[in-house]
Formats: sequence, structure tokens, C-alpha cells
Amino acid sequence: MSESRRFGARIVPRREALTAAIDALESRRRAVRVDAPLREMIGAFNLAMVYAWLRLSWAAALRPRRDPVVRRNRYDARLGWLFVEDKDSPYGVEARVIPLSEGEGPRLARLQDLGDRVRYRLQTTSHVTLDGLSDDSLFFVILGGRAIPLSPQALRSVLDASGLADSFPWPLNVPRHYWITRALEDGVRLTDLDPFLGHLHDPLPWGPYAARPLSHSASSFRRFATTILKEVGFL
Amino acid sequence: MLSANGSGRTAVRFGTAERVAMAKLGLIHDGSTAQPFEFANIYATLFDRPAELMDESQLRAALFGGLIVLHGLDPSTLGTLRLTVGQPPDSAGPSLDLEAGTLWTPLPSVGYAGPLRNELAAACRPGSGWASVPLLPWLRRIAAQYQQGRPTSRSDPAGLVFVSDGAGSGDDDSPASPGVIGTPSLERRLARSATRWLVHHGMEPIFGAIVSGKFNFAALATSAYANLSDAQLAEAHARSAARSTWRYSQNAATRATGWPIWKIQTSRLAQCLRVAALVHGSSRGARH
Repeated sequence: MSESRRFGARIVPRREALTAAIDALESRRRAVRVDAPLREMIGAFNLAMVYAWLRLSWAAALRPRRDPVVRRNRYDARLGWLFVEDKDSPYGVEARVIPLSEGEGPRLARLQDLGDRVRYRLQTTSHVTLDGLSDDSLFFVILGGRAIPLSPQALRSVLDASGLADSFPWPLNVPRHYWITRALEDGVRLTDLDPFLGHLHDPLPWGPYAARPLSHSASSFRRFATTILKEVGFL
Repeated sequence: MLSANGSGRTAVRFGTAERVAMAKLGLIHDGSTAQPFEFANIYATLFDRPAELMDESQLRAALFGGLIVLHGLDPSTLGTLRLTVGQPPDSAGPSLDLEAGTLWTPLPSVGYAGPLRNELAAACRPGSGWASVPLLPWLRRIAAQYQQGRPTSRSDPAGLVFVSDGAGSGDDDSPASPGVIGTPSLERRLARSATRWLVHHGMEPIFGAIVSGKFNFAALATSAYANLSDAQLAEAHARSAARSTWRYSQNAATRATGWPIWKIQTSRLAQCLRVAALVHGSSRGARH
């Protein structure tokens, strides 16, 4: 065959479109100053939260289907592990741990710290209501005078308000499509990645029948996460 | 109500428990997996002469058997395999383009099956609900020869690749079977096991599912995500098929001589390598 034909999932982003989108997002980011005027702080904070969420979704290939997927203090920044609950099934919530690549754990810790300071500012010096926000929400934004968990819809609203909606035309679960596609192209074993992506079938790397140490799969996952973050422009 | 054994439990069919246990352990093989010597026996028939020297019935048998042992296509699927030129219509099942040497397999659709918005389509890789699977080089030559001598549409109005010639074994539920491989149950077992051996020899299960058109739960999840190219699939398939063939050929050599592999003569090993290279289409697949 003269030219290779592609088939399968049709929502795997082109790399050049992806890096352009991440570049556009990076260029709009500003440092969040909690003592800045409220409107300015909210704009910078919302974009910082969206950036952090998108970065985490590419670092860990999360399902963005419900909120909260990641909760406050449900990660180990030092050891680089994250606890996620990103899917409901008839049999309960599919919860799992995901290895974080180097630097992503401390990023979450800094984000949580920023969120705490913003909450305090909002509670003490603004009319922004926080009644829609649970204490364990790690990712949240302020829209329409309310602090709310960062749902996919809220994320879209922030991108739209920042003029970035056109740069991100993809559904929010495209990191998962990109991960598997690139893993197959690079010869990364899917048996190492699948359990951390939530494709849970025996033997789980943390289950009683596991024949390999969990650390082997975890380091393979971390290596590949770093590759992906570099490839799409987060590193 | 008590069951036949009086214990109150439902009787477990022989072999089920071990298959469940082996699946729990993540093993792809179980007690029903056809062993290398069984494939070696088939290979001795399929690989005994070049395509150019085969008559029509031999070509038909080689194509049928080759799709079972090299792709893992089930005999019942082969019985309904249709001819095509290029991508088949959406409503069709697995189809074979004899001239291009391409097997077309419909992929299960899990999400995003409808048309994409223009701006989304422009930012994504092209994809399709049809996988195009290049036949392995040896099978491609067989397919090309088969097409030249194949009966015309008058005797094959349905456009099936394999049409029954009425010489079946009677209990055969795949009427197109030329019967070269053996009984229908052996054919089914070989097809199932061929996929297992391909995965055993390094092919990702998702690739095994696509080349055989059989999707289990795990492969379904992956197929919903992956965007692949036919060149990538062909390379992965050829590599694993060459490894499998090398193993079967070694097995045939040891069985023929009765010697362990380290005692096999160089000439016989060279013959094994030639067979593996034949499948791969180059000498690369024969290096291990």
C-alpha cells in the first residue's frame, strides 16, 4: 500500500493543533495575586485552575466525567500518587490510584494552597458565595458570583470567557485517546497503563494475583506521562 | 432444588474453573489452547509449495487455512466473508479485497460515531470505523493467485469468498470450509488459539482483535480509544506471526527428527527460518 491509511478513533488530536492550543493557554496565564482587585484575581485564578486541570488530565489521562474526580488531600505529593474517582458504574464508584510523574505532586500541593488562600479571600472580603463548594473540592472556579467545582461545563465557560474556546475544540477525554494511540505507536505495553487508566480487569497490579511489583508498572506509567507532557507542550 | 450431583450447587462444566483461574492470573492460555505441534502439522500442508504451483482447490484451502492460523479468523466468519474492492459499505461484515490483499474488519463503535464538527475534524487525526488489515505477504500471494482462478459470479452470486463445494464433513457449521485443517471444532480451536499465540509472541491484544475480528471486553475498551495505521498494524502482525511460525517450524523439525532443538541440524534450522521469513515477507522476521 503506497500510503498508510488511518482507522479507529476519530477524536485523537493532531499534535500540532494540540501544542498550538497549549501555547495559547500558556500565553494567557498570569500569576495569581490573592491581594489583587477581585475581578483581576478571579480572572487569573480561573485560568490557573483550568490550566492545572488540563495539565493533570494530560499527565494522568483522567476521565473528566464527573466532579469531584480529584479531591483535596487525596494525593501524596512527595511519593507521587493520586487517588481518583472518575467513573460510576452500577457496582459502585471505580476508584483507583495513579502514579504522578515528577513535579506533578508538588504542583497539586501548591494549587491546593492557592485554593485555600482564595477561599479565605472570598469569604472575608467579597460577596462571592461558597455554598456550592464542598470543603474537599480541590479544583474550583468563580463564575457568576459563585464559587463552584470545576465541572467540564465550568471549564468550557472559562475557556470561552478567555477567548480560548476555539483553540480547544476537543472533548475533554481526548488525553485518554491520545495516550493509548501513542502508547501503541511507541511500543509501550498497555498492560502497564491500562489499570491506571481505569480499565480494570484481572490481574490488577495491586491485586492478589499480581505477578509483577506495582513499582514496575508505575515507573513505566510515569515515564510515559513525562513523554506525553513534553510532546503536547506542558514540559 | 438440588442439582444432579445432589450438592445443591450448579455443576461446573469441566474446564470452566481452570479457565477462570487462568484468566484471573492474566494468562492468555488455558487447557483448550492448541499447541505448537498442532499448528506445525497444519503448516506442513499449507507451506509445502509456492502459490504459483497450487491448483484452485489448493489455493482455496491455503487461503482458508492461512486466515485461520495466521490471522485467527473464525471459520464461521470465513463462511460469511465477502468480496470487496476497497472499503466495504457500512452494513457489510468482514470482507476481503483479493486484489489489494486487504482484509476489512468493522470496528465496534463505542462513542463519537456520528459526523464531527468541521473545526473538530480539522484538529484531529483521520479515523474510520473500518480497519484495513494488510494480509501477510505469503497470504497476499495466495489471495492474488486465488482471484485469478476463482469461479465467476455466476456460481457465486452472493459474493462470498469461500463457497461450499458440497464436500463438507456433514456436521460442519461452516459450509465454506474446504476441510484442509480438520474437523470444525479443531478449526475453531486453532483460530482461537492463533490469536493467543500471536499475543503470546508480542502482539498487543487490540491488534489481535482487529486482525481476527474478535473483540473481547478488554479489546473493546482499547479499540474505542486507539487511532492506528494499517502499516503499524501490518508490522505488529508480521512480527508476531513470524515469531509464531518460527516456533511452529522448530516444533515440526524436532518432531520430524526426534531430537531436541539444540541438536537440530543447521539445514533444518535454516528451513525454519525460511518459513518464518516467508510469512514476514523479508529476512527481518527470522532474526530472534
